[in-house]
Amino acid sequence: MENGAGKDIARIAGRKNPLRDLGNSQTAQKPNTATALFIETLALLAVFTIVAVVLVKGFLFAGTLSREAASLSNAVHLAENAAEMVSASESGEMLFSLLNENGNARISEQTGDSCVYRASYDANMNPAAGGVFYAEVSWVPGQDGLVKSTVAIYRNNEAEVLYSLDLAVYVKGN
Amino acid sequence: MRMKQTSHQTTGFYTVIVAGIIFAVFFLLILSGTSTYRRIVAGQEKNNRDRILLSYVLANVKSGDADGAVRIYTENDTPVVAVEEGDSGYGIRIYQHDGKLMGDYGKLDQALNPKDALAIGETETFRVEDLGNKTYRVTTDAGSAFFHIKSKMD
Repeated sequence: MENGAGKDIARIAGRKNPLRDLGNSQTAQKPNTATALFIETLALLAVFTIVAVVLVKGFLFAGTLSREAASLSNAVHLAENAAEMVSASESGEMLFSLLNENGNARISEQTGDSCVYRASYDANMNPAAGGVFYAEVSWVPGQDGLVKSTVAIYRNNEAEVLYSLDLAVYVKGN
Repeated sequence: MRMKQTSHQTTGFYTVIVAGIIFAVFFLLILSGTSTYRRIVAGQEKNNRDRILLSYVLANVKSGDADGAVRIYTENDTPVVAVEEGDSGYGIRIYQHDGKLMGDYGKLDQALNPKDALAIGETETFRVEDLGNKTYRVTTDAGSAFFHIKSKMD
């Protein structure tokens, strides 16, 4: 037993640099180290890609929300203007003449005295035929001079209403 | 020995490339984030700016819509929207002066006094058009809005 231990000590002591041998014992694991580095890098890239995708999606969503807010603001402004026009009108024809600027308005539907007018506006809310937004304004005369109206603002080629207002006005002699 | 050196070089090169890719994507993400933030803030600012001047005029006219209280006239080639407070002779006059929309509170029979008036916001344009039937269109740089006066006008 003592002889065995003594031989081992003598073997290690006989080498020029025993620590370098310890290092050399790892040279057999070099391919494993490279693989581990590769896997670590792949995992890092995967995590980073996921984070990047989540952030980009967040940015895109924020951009979409901002555009929607701008559209809603424009739609509310157009609806307010159209409501003022309804309030100022004494007949459907008068409403049409107020809505119609630069040929941007037309009659969309007509049933008896009731009418739906459609007026187009560009992105800066200026009247323009074939613009980005359009307002549909109904004029429905009822009893005792009460006229009901709905103002709905749409974005071109989209069925979804951006903003709508229901209102009623009293028109003398109607 | 040479193989070991080449292997070390490859690993180092690989690490630098991966780090470079990560930094590049990180940089692009920051650019994209700041650009989105800038767009959102610019949009909010535009919405607020667009609304504030027209809303100010409309709110004043609507709140003071009483018989003879709202007057629209021209002074020194400048359109003025005047809204009187009851029969007091005092009221607010809204007009454009020096590229700004002014809210001038004071005696309505006196001359405009832009020096003491409140600047509401910047606009090079201020027009008030009579569309008939007591309906007006007010236009600023941000666009136009309509208002209809229900009460009697002088």
